[in-house]
Amino acid sequence: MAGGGASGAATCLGYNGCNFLRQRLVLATLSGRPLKIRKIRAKEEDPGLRDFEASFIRLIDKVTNGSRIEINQTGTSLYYQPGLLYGGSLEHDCSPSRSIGYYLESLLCLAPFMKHPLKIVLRGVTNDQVDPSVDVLKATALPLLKKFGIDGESLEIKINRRGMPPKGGGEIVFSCPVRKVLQPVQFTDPGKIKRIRGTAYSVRVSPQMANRMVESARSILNKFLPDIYIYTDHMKGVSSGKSPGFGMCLTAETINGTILSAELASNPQGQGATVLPEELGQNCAKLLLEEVYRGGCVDSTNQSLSLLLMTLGQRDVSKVLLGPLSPYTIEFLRHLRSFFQIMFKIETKTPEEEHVGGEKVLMTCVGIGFSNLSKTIR
Amino acid sequence: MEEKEKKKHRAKHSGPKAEKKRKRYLNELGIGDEENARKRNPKAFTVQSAVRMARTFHRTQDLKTKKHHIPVVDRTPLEPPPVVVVVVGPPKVGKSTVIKCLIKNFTRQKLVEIRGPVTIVSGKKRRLTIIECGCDINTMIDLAKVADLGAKLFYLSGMVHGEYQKQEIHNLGRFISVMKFRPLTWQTSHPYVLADRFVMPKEERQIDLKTGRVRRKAVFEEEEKENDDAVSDEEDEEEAAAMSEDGSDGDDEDDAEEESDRELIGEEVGVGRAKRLKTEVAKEEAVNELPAFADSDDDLEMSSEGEEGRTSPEESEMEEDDDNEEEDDDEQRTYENESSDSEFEVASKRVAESRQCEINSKDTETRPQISDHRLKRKSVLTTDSGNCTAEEASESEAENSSLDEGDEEGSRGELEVEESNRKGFPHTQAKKTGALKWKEDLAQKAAEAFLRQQRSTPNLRKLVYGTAVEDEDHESEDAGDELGGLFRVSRPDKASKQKANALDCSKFLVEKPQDWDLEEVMSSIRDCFVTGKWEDDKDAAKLLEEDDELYGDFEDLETGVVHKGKRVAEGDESGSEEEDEDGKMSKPEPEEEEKKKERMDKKRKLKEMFDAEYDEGDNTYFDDLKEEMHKQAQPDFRIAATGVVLDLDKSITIVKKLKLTGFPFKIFKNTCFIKLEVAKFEGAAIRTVSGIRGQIKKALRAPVGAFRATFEDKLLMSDIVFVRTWYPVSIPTFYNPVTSLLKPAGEKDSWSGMKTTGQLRHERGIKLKQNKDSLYTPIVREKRHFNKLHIPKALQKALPFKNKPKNLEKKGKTPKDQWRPAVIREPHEKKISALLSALSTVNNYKIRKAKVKHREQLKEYLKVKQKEDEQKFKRQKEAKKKIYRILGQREKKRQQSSLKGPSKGEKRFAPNLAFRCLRKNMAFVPLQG
Repeated sequence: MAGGGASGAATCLGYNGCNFLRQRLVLATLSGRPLKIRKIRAKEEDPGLRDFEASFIRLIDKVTNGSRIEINQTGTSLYYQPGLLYGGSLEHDCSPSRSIGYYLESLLCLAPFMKHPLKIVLRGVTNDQVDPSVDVLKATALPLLKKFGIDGESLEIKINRRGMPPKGGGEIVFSCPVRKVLQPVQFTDPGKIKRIRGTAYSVRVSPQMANRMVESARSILNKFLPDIYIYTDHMKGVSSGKSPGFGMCLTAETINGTILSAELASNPQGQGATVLPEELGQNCAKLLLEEVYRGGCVDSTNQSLSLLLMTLGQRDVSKVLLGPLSPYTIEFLRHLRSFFQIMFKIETKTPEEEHVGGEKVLMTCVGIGFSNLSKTIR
Repeated sequence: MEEKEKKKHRAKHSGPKAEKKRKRYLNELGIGDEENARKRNPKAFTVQSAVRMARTFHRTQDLKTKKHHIPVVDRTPLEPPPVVVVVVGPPKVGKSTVIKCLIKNFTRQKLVEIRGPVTIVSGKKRRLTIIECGCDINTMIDLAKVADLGAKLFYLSGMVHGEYQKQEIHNLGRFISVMKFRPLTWQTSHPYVLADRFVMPKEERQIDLKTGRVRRKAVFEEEEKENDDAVSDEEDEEEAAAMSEDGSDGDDEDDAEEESDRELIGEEVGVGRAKRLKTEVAKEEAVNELPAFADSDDDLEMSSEGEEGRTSPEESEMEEDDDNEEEDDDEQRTYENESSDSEFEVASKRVAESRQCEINSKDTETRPQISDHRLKRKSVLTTDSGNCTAEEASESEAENSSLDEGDEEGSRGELEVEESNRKGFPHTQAKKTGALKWKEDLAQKAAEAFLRQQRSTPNLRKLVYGTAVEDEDHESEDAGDELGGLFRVSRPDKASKQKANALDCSKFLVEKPQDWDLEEVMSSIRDCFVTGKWEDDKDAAKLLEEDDELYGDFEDLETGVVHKGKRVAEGDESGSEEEDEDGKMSKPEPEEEEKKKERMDKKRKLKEMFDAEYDEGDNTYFDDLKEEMHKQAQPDFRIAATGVVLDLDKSITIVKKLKLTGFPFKIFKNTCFIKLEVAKFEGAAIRTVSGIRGQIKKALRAPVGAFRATFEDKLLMSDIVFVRTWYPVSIPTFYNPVTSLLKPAGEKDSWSGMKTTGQLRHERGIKLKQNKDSLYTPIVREKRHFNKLHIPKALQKALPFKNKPKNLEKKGKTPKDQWRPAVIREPHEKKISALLSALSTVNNYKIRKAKVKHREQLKEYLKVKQKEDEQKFKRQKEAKKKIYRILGQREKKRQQSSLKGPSKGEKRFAPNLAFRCLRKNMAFVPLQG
C-alpha cells in the first residue's frame, strides 16, 4: 500500500542496531518522519528482529493507518514510513518473551494522539522481571497523563487476567481518550510522601505468598511512614494465566500527586533459584526507598513519557524535576532532538536541605505546539 | 365624663409573636415546617419538563464555560517584582490622599508628601509600587505600559479629617493585595521594564560628592537628562527638585554628606530615619573599636543601601558583591535611594537631628579609616562593572575573590587611574601600563576560575547532547581491522554492540543499592516523607508566625529601608509619635468587636477574591477568541468563507466493483438455496435481477459455496441472484526516473521520459487485443410467449358476474337467407345524392375555415386579456401595499404609545384610523371587481 505523499518529503532518519527500537518507531510516528534502522543484530548468531520486536511492529501497524513497513529478508534492516495514528478497538497478542509493559509503554505515548480513542486488548505476560509491569504503569503513568490534560473516564488500564512468564496468558484492556492539544506542566516540587500503596500478587501459587510479601515490605517501610496499605491480589482459575509466579509493586504518593514506584517479581518457572516471598518483599521495599532517594516529580520509569508529553505540549514552557536521568531517558532526549529539533534545558539541582535524597535534574523545554491533526473534529 | 370606649385588641401581624402563632397554626393544619417546602410539597419540585431541565442545565453550563479562562502558566519568579499600582485622575481629585491613606493602611505610618513611587510590602509574597500618575498624556501612556493595576474604579465616600474613611481604604487595600493579575495580551507582547532609578557608576558619584554639592547636583541633572525617556518625566523633575533642596539644606552638615551620600539625601526623609541613624551609630562605634568588625544586624539594609563604607575590608567586599548582583539581575527592584523626598513628623526629625550631631562628632575621628576602606572597596567595584559585565555573576564573584587574593596595591593604583580618567586629568604612561598589566592578569585568572567551575559541575546538557560522536568512532575502528588486506575479521565490537543492540528497556536499574538498614542511609531520605521535617515556607506553624511578623511591613522606595510594622510600637521616638497620632484618629475598640470585625473582613476578603477571579477577569476565553478573529481579518480582502479540516485519513484502498451471480436450486416460501460462490459473505445483502431483495443467511456444506438465503418474496427458478462486492486492487509499482535536472540549463524542458505502452501503441497503430466478453453488444431478447389464462369452471361459477369471463365467441357466417338485398338507385336519385355530397363538401370546408378563424380570434383576445389582467393585478398589488403600510405604521404607533402607557390621544385616534382604512378599502372595490 502506498504511503502518503506529504510525509515522504521529510528526510529519512537512519539508525543502527535494535536498541531503542520502540522510541524510534514512536517518535517517527508522532513526527511523521520516515525511519530506517540498519544492522539489527547483524553480527549475532541469530540475526535480525526478534519475535517480540516483530510483534511490536505489527502492533504499530495495527494502530496506524497507511504506514509502510519494509523489512529485509534477514530482518536486519527496517524501513518505516509512518502513517496516521488511527486507534479504535483493537486486539493484540503480545509475544511472551517480553511483558505487556514493553508494548504498553509505547502505546501510552501514542494513544492520546489517535484519530479514534484507543481501546486495545493486549494479551501476554503482565508481570515480568525485565519491563515495567502493567500494575506499575497503571499506578504511575495514568496519573501522569492526567496531569497533561489527558483524563476522563475512559483513561484506564484494566487487568483481566494475570500472566507470568514464561507462558503468559494474561490479558489487559487499555483505553485512552484522544486530545487535540496537551497542557504545559510545571512540576518542580514533588512534595512529601504521604502514603504508600501497593499490590502483592500471586498466581498459581499459595495465596499466602502475597501476605508474606506484604508483611516483610511493611516491616521496612513502617520506619518511614505509618500510612501503608498493600493490597493482596490472588487470581484463580482462568484469570491466573498459564505459569505460576508472584511479585509485588509499591507506589509512594506525595502530597502534590507525584507517584514513585518500585516492583519486583519472582523468577520465572524453571529459571533461576526459587525466591522467598519475604526476601522479595524486603527487596522491593528497598527498591522503593532507592526510588525515593532518586526522587523527582516523575518516577524513573516514566521519565521519557513525561518528557515526550512536554515536548508535544503547547508552545509554552514546561518544567519538570526529575531524579537522575536513566540511560533510556538520555537516549530518548537525543532522539527527541533529532526527531523534533528540541533540546531541553538541563540543570542539576542539589537539594538545599539534607535528608531529601540525591541530586535532582530540572528539565525545561518549550513545547513544539503539537496538535493532533488526525483527530476528527466534531 | 363618659368613659371612653376601650380600644379593641388588634392581633399582631408581624414580629416574633405573630411568627410564633403562625407557626403553631400551620403545625395544627399539619403543614408546619414552612421553610422546607421541598419536603412538604415534593410534587411541586419534581421535574416538570425534561426538555426545560435540559435547557436550564445547558444554559448554566454555557454561563460557566463563558467564565473559564485559558489556563495561564505562572511565570512569576520566586521573588516577584512589586506590583505596579498607578493612581490616575484629574488634578485635585485626591490621588495623593489615596496613596497616603493606602500607605497608612499597610504600614501604620504616615507619609506626609508623595514625591515619587512608593513601594510597600502588602503581603507575604507581594510588594506594591504605588505611582501617582500626572495629568499629561505622556505620563499616562508610559504608565499604561507598565501598570499592573490601572483600570479599576472605586467609590470612596467623602473625606474625614482630610483622609478617606478608614474602612473603605482598608477594603481597597485588601482588594489590591488579593487581586490576581492576568497578563494582558498587549503587555505580554510589548515588554517594558520599569526603571525608576538610574544609577551612575558609583565611584564617579563619590568623587563628585567629594568635590562638593554643586558637582553632585550636576551629576543628578545628567541623570535626569538620560532618564527622560524613562517612566515619568514628572517624577524626575520632582526628584531633581528634591535634590536641589537637599543641597541647600545640607550646608551645615558637610561632614555627614561626605561620608555617606545616602544619609545626606535622607535628610528629607522622615520615614524610619531615627532607626537608621541608630544603626549607623552602632556601626560607627563598632568600626572605631574593632577594625575587623564582622557582621551587623542590619547587614541586609546596609547592603541594599550599598554605599556604606564603614565596615571592615572583608565585609565591605562581600557587601559590594551583593550589591552588584542585585543591580545586575534585578532592575525592577525599586530601591529609590537618592530620591528620598518624603517628610516625616517634624518632631521626629528634631530628635534625629540631635542624634546626628553626635554622629558628626564621631565621624571626624573615624574619617581617615573610612576613606581608606572606601578606596579599597571602590577598586573592587570598578573591576566588576567595567571588565566583566558580560560574564556571569558567579564568575565575577570568583574573580573578585581571586582579585582579593592578589595585590591590593594594584587595585589601588587602578583606582587612581580610573579617578584621573574620570576627572579628565592627564595621567602618566607608567601608571597606565601598570594598570594594563594588572588587567591581563585578571583576564587569565578569570578564565582559570571559569574552567575550574566548569570542571567541578558536570554540564548535563553537554553529556546528553554532545556524545553523538562516540558511535561514529566505534564504526571507524571497525573498518580498520583487516586481515591480509582482503578479508576482514568480523569481530563483534563489544562496546558498540552493547549500545546499539542492547536490551530495549526503560527500567532504570539500581546499580549500587544502598544498605537501607543503616541509620545514615535511612536518614538521607527521612525528610521526603510527611513525617519528616518540613521546609520553612511550608510548615504551617512557621507560616503562621511569619504571617504575624510580616503584616504591616513596608519598604520605602526612597531609602530602600524595610520597615517592620510591629516595631513601630516598640518604643523608639518616632514610633511613639506615630502611636499618638493614631490614638487621636481612632479610639481603641473592645477586643470582641475587633474579632467580629476581623471575621467580617475575612469574609469580605474571600468574596473579593472570588470576585477578582471571576467577574473582574480582563479577558475571557471568548473575548480572546474574538480578538484573534479581528486580528486575522485583513482590510485588503474579505474572507468569503472559512473552513476547517475535519478529518485526515492516510489509508488508500483502491477497490474494484465485482458482481457475483448465482442461481437458486431449491426454493421454499421465502427461503431458497442458491449456488453462488459467496459463502464468505454471511449477512451480505443480495438481490435478484427482477429486484427482489434478500440476505445471505448461512453457508451450506454441500455443494461447496452454496448458501441459504431469505428474500422478501418467493423466487422463481429462473431468477438470477447476484451480490455486489468490492475487490481490493493493488497498484502496480512503476519506476520512471525523471532526470530533467541533470540536463544543462535551458534544455530542461526538452527532457522526455520513457514512453508508456499506451503511447507506443498509439504511435505504432497497434490495437489492443480485447477480450470478447468485455465488449458491449446489443442485447437481443426473445419474445416472451404467455399462455392463455385458464379459469376453472367451478371457479367461474363462484365469481361475481363482473369478473366472469364473458362469452366472446365469434358469430358464425350469416346464412344466405338472412342477407339483406342490395339497393340500386335511380339515375335521378344518383344526381341528388351527388349534389348533396358536393354541397356537404362545400359546407364542411366553410365550417372548417370558420373554426380556424375563430380560433385565431380567440387567441388574440386572450392575449389582450392577459395583458389587461396583468396590469390590473399590478395596480391592485400596489394599492394593497399602500394600505398595509399605513396600517402597519398605525399599529406601530399604537404599540409605542401603549408602551408608554395608555394615553388619551391614542384612544381618540383609533376609530379615526379604522374609518380611514375602511374608506380606502371601499375605494378599491370597483377595481377589484
